[in-house]
Amino acid sequence: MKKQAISALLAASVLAGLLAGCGGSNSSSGGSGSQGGGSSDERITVRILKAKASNEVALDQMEIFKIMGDKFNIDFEFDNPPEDSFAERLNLAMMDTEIPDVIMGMQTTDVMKYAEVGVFLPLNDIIEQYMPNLQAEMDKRDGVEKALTYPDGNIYYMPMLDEKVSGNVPYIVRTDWLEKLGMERPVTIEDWEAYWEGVKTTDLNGNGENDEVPFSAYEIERLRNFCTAWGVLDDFYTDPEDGGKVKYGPIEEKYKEALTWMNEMYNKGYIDQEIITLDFSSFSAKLAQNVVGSFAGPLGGLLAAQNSTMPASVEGFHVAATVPPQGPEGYQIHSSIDQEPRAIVGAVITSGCEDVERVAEWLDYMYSEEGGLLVNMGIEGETYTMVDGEPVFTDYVMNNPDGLSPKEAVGSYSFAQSSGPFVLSSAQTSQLDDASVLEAKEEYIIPFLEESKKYVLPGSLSFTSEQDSVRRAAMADIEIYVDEMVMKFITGREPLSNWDTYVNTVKQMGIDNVLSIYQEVVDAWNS
Amino acid sequence: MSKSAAAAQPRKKSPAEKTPLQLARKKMWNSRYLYLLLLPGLIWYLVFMYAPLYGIQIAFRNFMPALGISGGKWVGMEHFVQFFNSPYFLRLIKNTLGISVYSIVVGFPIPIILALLINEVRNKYFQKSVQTIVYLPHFISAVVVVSIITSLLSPSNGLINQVIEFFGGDPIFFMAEPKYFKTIYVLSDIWQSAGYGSIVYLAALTSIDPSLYEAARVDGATKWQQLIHITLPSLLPTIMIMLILRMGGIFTVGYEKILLMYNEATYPTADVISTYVYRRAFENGEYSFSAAIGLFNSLINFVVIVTFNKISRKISEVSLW
Repeated sequence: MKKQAISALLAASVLAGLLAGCGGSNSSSGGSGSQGGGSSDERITVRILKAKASNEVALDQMEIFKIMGDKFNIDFEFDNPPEDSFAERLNLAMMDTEIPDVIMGMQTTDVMKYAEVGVFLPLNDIIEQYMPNLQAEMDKRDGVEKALTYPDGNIYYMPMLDEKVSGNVPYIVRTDWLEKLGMERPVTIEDWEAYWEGVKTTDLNGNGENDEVPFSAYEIERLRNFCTAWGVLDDFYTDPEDGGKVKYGPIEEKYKEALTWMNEMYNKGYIDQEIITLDFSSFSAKLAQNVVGSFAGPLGGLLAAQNSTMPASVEGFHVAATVPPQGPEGYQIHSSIDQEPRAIVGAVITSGCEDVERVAEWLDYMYSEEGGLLVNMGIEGETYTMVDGEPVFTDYVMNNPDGLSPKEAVGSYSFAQSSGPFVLSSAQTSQLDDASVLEAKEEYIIPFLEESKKYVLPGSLSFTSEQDSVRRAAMADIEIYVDEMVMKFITGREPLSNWDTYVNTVKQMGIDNVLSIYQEVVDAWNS
Repeated sequence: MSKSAAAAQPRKKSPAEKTPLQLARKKMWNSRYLYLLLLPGLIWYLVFMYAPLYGIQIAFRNFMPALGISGGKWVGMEHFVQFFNSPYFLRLIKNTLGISVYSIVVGFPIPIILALLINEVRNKYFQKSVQTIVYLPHFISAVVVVSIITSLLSPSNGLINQVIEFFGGDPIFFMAEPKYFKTIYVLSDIWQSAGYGSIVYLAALTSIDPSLYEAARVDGATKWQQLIHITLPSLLPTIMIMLILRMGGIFTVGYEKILLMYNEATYPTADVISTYVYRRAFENGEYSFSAAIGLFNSLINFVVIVTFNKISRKISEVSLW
């Protein structure tokens, strides 16, 4: 018996050791980049952390980095995680002993968190001394400098600038199905209901089965966003009817009305049940089955992509954007517009960077005319040619021999479709965008910008770390509760008669505190 | 074990000649090679298990990566208090315990039963194939497992719901029903780990003295009686050790699979301590707060394993130490 106990113990401890070996140590994967530094003639190594957008190739395969590397005598090393794990990677990278020299693209609120403890270099002097091109671009645009300056008077990130408005997540409908139903693109929420009823009750894809899904999406937020029709956003926003006061949408009375409507639509079976478990790839698979009548998603990623791939298998397939849904009281708001001036983080230089001068010169190059062409258009003669002084994409991009879409083809040369330190040229976007995207921007987004701007918070709110940690701690719990309850209200698991209890709970969790922080920051911004 | 090592060195000298310290030194010297063998293990423990304990202090500080581990402001128990006052405190404990207990009650006996069944198979080829087949799921990543579950249970085209519809039922959206979450989690876990878990028991089964069975057969014991009176008692020490180890992790439910499985609708039954820590640490960057919860979690686990070890020593004479 004793012996067996020992052998059992040994067996168990070996097993436990195995298990511990698997899950135990999360030792950091220490950076391996050796820092060159020294005199400016020497070749230096610069490490870059940047998210990889889905239509880009990995940065280390991008031709333009080799060109820039040779020009500035820099070896680049890349940490290039996919977009959806970038936030985690950033948090971890900042814990590493060797942090990357340059980080491209992140949340503006994250910048302050690390800048305050000195991880990100203040750029005011650097821009003045080494970055004339960026300085010139900033001088061209009103308010950019103000947007970039944090409460402590420093600038910590160089912005991504652009020549034209972009970025939105509109509602998208099947125009060919609308035609079959004899309807126009929906405007009011009654129109939406009528269209959805049509989709639900008609065999529009003609497969003999009643499998049409009126509305689907890969995030419940896309459905929740219908609340804009009631004059309230699904997040923090400023209420122009209340003197620009900051409010939190999901606890507003108007939001309750929106939820009532969503619940009704859900009960009628117009909303895809699976909306909560779909992710982007399973949602794309669903779209490919030709059953979805309407959805919401980014212009480039969904609208253009669907129009370019689907007509091959489904005859007459066409999707198009709609105006923001109009509610009973006439509200029509785009919630995902970018406020002008856009404050998108292009790049930060970290305290780990040894040859700041050279790195700044390189970064500045991307704001210059020559560098801008390289970043936006790729390589002259390969991806673009100059026609009458204007850069025009070649056939390699527009009709790619390997069957890549124009955006994918450019994506192996340039990272201009995600964020970075450069000016996004309208020459690039207008040539690449699908006709349906250009139409959506001109007719369905831009006309609503002015009104929407009154609601959407300024793009670059800067919290002090004190404010930020209070906000983060409170919102971590609140967001989970709100997501959960809104979900229950929509699906009817929780009757809307419990609305007041829900609002009270959110208040107990400290929403007023967070609101007053937002109010302070927004007031400071406006003054 | 130290007892047997000591007993191996009987010396015929009067103990009065040497102080206990000298005796101990003598004993150590005599078994010096054994200590030498122990050394790498000890060093490994010190470097990888004890040295990192230094980092625990971030649970009591406002950790900022740039300031280093001991650089953040000391805030004492603030993060613990914040967690205890969190509206989710009770729910997290309840869910963590719920999933753990559920998977121990349902999942713990299954590898044992599986091992006993495999052990009884007489055809070697059949036995080996079954063994291999039941191990295999262990090597599938959680991401793949969850994708399989989600497609199987999909209300629109999942296999399970098509069966339900075939028999005239209404499709159920399993992944969005809070009441099904724990069951789906535990059952898929059993499917994945039961085969692998049975290895330990199979190993223990081979060490049972065959003469016991021969004697029993001579006495006319049936298969069932042999199982009850020989196999199970011989397995008991292994079972108890495994159970103690399992109990030590009762407040630990891994985050990987739950993160992949849960959604807004199933948060109420699915959110556990580890997923909460994950979200606060890696999505929100609140390392100190998360370290505090993690530390609290480990403390409870420690208390549980010590308690259970004591109980086990009392009632079954088997214990980890």
